[in-house]
Amino acid sequence: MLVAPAVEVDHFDSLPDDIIVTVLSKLSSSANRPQDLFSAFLTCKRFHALGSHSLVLSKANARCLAVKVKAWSEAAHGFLKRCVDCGNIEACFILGMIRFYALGNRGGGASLMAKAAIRSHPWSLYSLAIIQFNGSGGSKNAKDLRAGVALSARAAFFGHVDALRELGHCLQDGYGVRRNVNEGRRFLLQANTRELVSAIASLPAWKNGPQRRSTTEGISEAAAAAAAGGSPLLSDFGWNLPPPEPHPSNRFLVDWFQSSPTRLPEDLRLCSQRNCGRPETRRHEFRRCSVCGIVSYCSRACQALDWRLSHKAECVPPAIFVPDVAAGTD
Amino acid sequence: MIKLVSGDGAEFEVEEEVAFQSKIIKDIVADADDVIPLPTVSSKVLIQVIEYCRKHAAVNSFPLSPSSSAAAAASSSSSISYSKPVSDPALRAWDNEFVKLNNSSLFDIVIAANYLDIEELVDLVLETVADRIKGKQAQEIRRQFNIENDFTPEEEEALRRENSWAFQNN
Repeated sequence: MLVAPAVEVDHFDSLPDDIIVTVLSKLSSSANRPQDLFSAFLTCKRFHALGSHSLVLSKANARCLAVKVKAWSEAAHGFLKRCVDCGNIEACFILGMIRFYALGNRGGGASLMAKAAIRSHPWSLYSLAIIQFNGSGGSKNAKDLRAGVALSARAAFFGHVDALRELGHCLQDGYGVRRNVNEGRRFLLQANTRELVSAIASLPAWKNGPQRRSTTEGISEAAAAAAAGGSPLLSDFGWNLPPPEPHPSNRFLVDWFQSSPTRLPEDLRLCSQRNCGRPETRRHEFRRCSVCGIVSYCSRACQALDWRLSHKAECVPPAIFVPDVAAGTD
Repeated sequence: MIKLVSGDGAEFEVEEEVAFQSKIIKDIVADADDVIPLPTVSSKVLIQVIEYCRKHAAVNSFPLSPSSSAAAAASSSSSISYSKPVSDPALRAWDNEFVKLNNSSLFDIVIAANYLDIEELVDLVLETVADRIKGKQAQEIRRQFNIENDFTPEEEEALRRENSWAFQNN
């Protein structure tokens, strides 16, 4: 039982402003949701005033910037903009994705992502690669495969697994780059390995604890977790792993189009990988599954992922060939 | 050996590499004698700071073990978080034990560490403080740190309304 001290002192009174700014920036860089930061802003005037310091806003992580679709408002938009102005590249990416795909502001969205891409933000590099591969926002002729490959390569270099996978497929097929089957297979293999490593690293038992397990224990644990009902991934090797956690910007897009179906024009489709959320920007922009023709994907990486997650079990060639439906697709 | 003298007159003899965890002491020693008065630091706090410096001086003098650099590589490959890679896990565990203190002790340490310019210790303590703020309502944070709410109810309500988007979690 605590004995209340005779005089209650505000511990923070003794600390200079720059220390409090550092506390708040550590909070914004490790927050699990926006509320973590905004609750601190609400405690007193000093916190509220120091919270607008550029150090705090520039460090905010993706989870701290994860605006929910239902809560989307001018104020939320304004917060993301202020973070962008403070040089927060994560905010550049998230707001860029929202503007490009949800709000239909292609120029503004792409230039925000470019701002983050220049500073080697892997998600932005990969997202711009998809835009180049598809010619999103432009006509079919706006596709720039070589630019897509170059951006994927850079994103992969900075550790983006989907980009590595995309690059592997491009090399294997000679898509936007000179064909090199062996090199392509090597990249695909590497993508699978990295996926495994990050899945193991994200296991709760692995994260917490000074009493770390051995790697082999971690792997068998991953396999056990997957056998217990995780989604099939890495099936190239017969491995099952839970699907990777989607980026908050992808979750925003998924919710955006799901919560109000009229937001997507009738003749356009969403990427069928359920955690992606990218919509077509013109008719027949996305590649369709060549077997069933029912699902369509923004990228090969999404197609490969969805194949393992669910489509493998669902894909059936159309029983009756209907010329009307088949016409105009590939 | 370097002699540190706390504000209340207690003397502590420590090895150079321990004292040099503080950049300020390193600078002072370069052009002064080996007795360093620290008038603003109490002996209670100085004992804790020296304990920290002793541990970190010992660990930092060895290169990272292979297992810990592998862990660092794994954590840096996780896709969303960009937190800096963790150093030696054993040292991190020790740090986690070290900061199991009440708020006022933590704040005394951070003031001393800031004054002595021991960057890692300042970081460690402030991260702990941020963790104690995280996941709590404004009222709980005030209670925990004895922060006076200097907003009028109207002001607080206006701020809540303006930022209502941040409090919607589904």
